[in-house]
Amino acid sequence: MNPNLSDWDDDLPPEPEEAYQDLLRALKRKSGFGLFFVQCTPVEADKFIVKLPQEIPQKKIAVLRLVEAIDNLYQPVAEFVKDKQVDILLIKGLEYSLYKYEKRSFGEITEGQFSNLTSVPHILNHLNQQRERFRDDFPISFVFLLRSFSINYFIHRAPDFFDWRSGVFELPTTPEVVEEESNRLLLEGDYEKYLKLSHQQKIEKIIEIQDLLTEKHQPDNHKPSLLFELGNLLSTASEDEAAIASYDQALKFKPDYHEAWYNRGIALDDLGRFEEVIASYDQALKFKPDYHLAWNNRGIALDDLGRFEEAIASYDQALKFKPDFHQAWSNRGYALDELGCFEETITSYDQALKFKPDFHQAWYNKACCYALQGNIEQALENLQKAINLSLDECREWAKTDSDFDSIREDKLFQALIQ
Amino acid sequence: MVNSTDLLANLYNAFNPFEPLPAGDPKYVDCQDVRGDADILQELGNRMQRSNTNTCQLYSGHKGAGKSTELLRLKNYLENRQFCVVYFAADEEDIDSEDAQYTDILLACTRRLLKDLKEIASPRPILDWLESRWEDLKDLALTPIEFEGMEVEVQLAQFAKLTANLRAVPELRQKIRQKIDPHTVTLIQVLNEFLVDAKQHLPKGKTQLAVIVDNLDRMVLVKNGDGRTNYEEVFLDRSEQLQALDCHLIYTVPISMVYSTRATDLRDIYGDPQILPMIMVNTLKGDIYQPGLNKVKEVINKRVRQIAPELSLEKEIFDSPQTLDRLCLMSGGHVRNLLLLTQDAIGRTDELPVSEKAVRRAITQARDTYRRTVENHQWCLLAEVSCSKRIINDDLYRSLMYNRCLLEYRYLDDGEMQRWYDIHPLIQGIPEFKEAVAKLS
Repeated sequence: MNPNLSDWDDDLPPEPEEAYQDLLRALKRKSGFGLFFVQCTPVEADKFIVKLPQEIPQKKIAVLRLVEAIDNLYQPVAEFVKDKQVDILLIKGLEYSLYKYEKRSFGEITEGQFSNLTSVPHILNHLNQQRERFRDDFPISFVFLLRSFSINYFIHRAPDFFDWRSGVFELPTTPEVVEEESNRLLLEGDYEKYLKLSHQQKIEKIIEIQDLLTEKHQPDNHKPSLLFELGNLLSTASEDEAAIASYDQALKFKPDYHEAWYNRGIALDDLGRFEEVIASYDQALKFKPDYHLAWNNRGIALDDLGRFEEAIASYDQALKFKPDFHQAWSNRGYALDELGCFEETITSYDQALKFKPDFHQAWYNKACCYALQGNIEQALENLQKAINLSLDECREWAKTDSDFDSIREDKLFQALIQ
Repeated sequence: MVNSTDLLANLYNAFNPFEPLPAGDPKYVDCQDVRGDADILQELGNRMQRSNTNTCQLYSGHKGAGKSTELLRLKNYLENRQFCVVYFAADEEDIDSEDAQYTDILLACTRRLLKDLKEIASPRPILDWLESRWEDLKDLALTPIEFEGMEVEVQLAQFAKLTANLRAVPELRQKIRQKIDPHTVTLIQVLNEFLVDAKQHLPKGKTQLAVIVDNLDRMVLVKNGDGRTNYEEVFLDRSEQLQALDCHLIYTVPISMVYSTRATDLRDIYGDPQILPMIMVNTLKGDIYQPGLNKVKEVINKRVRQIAPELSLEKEIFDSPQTLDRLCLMSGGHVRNLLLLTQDAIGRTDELPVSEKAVRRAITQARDTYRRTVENHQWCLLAEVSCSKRIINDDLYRSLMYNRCLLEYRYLDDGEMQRWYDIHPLIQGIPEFKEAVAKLS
């Protein structure tokens, strides 16, 4: 296409060690004001902070560690360097200011889009507008230690400040650190814990995982688990589409990853895509036929599609592998009820209650069944149990539930729901 | 003989990308004829000189192309021609909000004009205006005392306090604007009284007054809920007020505004904005344009000469003429890109000469920045422009002009001005771009 394309258009990236030497050389040579951007993980940043003073003993090096979001960097720097000789100022932790201000949805972060023009993180706007004051007041080499995504922020949202850089350097993460960090994240990985994280903490963790996934030294065998965790995190943030994409990637690496198929099914279920849900559970079951949770959830999806016979067969499978699985018994009861099999319905609920006597939903469902049959006595007895076990929850349900319409005028029923 | 470590450090520091050259600096290279004969002195300066009435002109260009350097030259040029010039960079001390608005600009102008002209004109009208607003404003200036009781100097300082608070205290920002907004018309009136007074007492030899507001193009583009941008609000909605000051005016305007769908509106109001184009290093057909390339080399040469006048540029500083040529071509004729690439290449050099490898590494790093700049949907736009060499005034191209993925060039063809556009040469080698080009054919 272009006749002038030459090998100058091909990349010639430095070897990792060369990049490090390039950075040192630049910092040694720079006098007065200067801006340097170093792309690295927080762990590598800490190593660099320790190492640099030994590498350049002739310069006074200071470290500004930010631990929370800031709107203004000029003031903290001015106070920090007051009455102090500083040649090189290393700044770590500017990320916190970005998590806080750009309230972008997770989907955008995962796609790396910077199209949101409705707001600018204050700190970036501040730097962009105040670059002259930094230049004129601080004869210092500023070294920003940042994650890859933060550098993208600078490029897009503080372009004038970034334009004054003397260089961008990528400090590669060593294979050991990649290994260490990946293990830590996988070890910490826990759906319940994810649920408790704040929005910002979730963003932070998502970015951590995304960074690790793009690391050169990330061995393929870690990738599926990291992608799985990423999917789970996204799913706790109700970002189901993005979560599904993550699971899909994990499954590309490891097609027999039954947990990923299973969680993918849950995410699809949240989106109401039941046919796909069933297909996803089928895959999970292909690789783990005794996966009782998958059989159970598959049954629920079939219920949602009105395919009750198949649902019952699915619950039967779940119960084959876990006979005391009370939810499956209860779900089975529900499906049987839909088919009008009264006796079997009651038997199924009874099984659920055998294994979990305080299972108030099952008591309640039984009460509904009896009410529909016109069996007032049994209906009231079961409802009483449900109400006792659930405090007020079942009482509230019963007030409006049409299943009880046939006994609604009954005095005892009236008394029960008061 | 300077030892090599110092020499390399000095060379490295000679290519700082953050200092506009003061007027008359020996490092300045006049690139007028390879920027399509765009000369700020002629285009903006002469119009101001010849006009019988006040002028209000817009100046724009890619960031880092040398706008501030050119405006400082213009200031000097005008000062030598009986102009008294107040030049200020709007953002340095006054404007620091993510949503800079017209009011902020007006207050900044007021403060700077008071500061620079109060020796020759009486600030009384402005102070009276402030006094009449004082009940509303004193809380916002965070000054409890009564205005009347203050010394004139202290009264003057209140304006600075307002702008300082506007900048530094986000909670006060909206309030200050709300209080000032309904009174901008009267503020402009008193400001003009002050300017008239100033014009009658200009220093000896001065007959005209001009204000140059630089760096307004630094406002980060912010879209409001209704889809309008802060640029439109300032430069279109408030155009009457922007033009109302009783002196010659030059405002810098973001280049993406000049290339937006509102470009025509802008032209109707202010006339053609002057845009500083790139130094043309390639021709429209894609051949190397030697005069332009030579100018770019001269930019490097002049800086190197100051440090190492005795070394040969194409043998001892760079390892070959080809290495230097490629470095220059990869800048796209954009001065700050050139400085960055050169500084980075020197930084990646242990011993002179700077090798092809060091330059290629600097190019690789800079290319990565461009790769990260372009959003996924923009690659095909870039591919199209690389073929057609044209753009239309569409918002699609706006951000690409703003972030220099697309560059503007100009040349004179038989005395007629031709404009054309191209992708930044660093983009050429990016895989995503190559794919987009392949899809075109």
